[in-house]
Amino acid sequence: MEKKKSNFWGNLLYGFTTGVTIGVFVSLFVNVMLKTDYYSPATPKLVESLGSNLSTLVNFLLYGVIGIVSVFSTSIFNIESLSLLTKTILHFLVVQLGVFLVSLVLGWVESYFIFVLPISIVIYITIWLVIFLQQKKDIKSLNDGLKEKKQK
Amino acid sequence: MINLQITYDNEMDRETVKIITKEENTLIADLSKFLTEYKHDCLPLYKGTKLFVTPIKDIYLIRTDKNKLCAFTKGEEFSLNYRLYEIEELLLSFGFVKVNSGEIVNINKVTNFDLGEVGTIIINLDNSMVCRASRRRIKSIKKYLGV
Repeated sequence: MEKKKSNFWGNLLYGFTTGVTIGVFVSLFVNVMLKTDYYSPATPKLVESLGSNLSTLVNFLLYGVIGIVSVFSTSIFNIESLSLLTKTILHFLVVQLGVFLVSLVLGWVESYFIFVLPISIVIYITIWLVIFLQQKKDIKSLNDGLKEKKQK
Repeated sequence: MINLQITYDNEMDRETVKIITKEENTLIADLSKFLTEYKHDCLPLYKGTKLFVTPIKDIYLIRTDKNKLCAFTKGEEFSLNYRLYEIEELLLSFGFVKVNSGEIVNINKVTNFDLGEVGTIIINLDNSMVCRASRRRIKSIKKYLGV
């Protein structure tokens, strides 16, 4: 009755387009930071081996794959038997494994360890802290509501 | 299956249920016990095959356990012949709220809410039982409590 029908194809499309969009912006940002003469999402090594067009296509497809992994792995948060901390760690590991494998294929493993991983850790800790503080607030309001109800 | 016949009679001054059976059996025994003890605020609970018509206000928690529904009172455990969604609807007006996918809690029997094992909300009940509220259910608990 309460089970929501999961929209597989919708999630797939949403994950893919979001992944590509974010990937394009991140690669554009990296190009700007590196002051390149022209935009290329691929590393020079990948462009050399696959050519400009194919390397760009591979990059975009794999950005999409990261997006798909991120979207589908959020279902981990629906497992009620796990604590929030376990679910967050599990989600982090799944997403990071995906990103790491993509970085291996696209040839930016070094950047993954220097930038992507540390930034991801900071983001996860921040999100987790926000949820944790929200729960503390929830508990306070629940106990206040309970106290009030019992006094009536 | 029981053949159910309802007769409406304006002359009747008190509702009467008449059971016609070939022989006495547990179904008839349960039915007659339930009907004689029936009140709108009671539920038929079982311990083994024995029926207990229990006031709903005495139930603390209803939990699914291996596809079976269990009801917990102050110190006893019973089984129920309902589905979780049926009992959820039935007990809504009695202060019961679904707190996770498998448990319905009588909010009037809650001692307090607590932050349990990192990232979970624990519900402590007056009979020392503990259950966990899922994040998505917090909204409905808050709604019931008016916060």
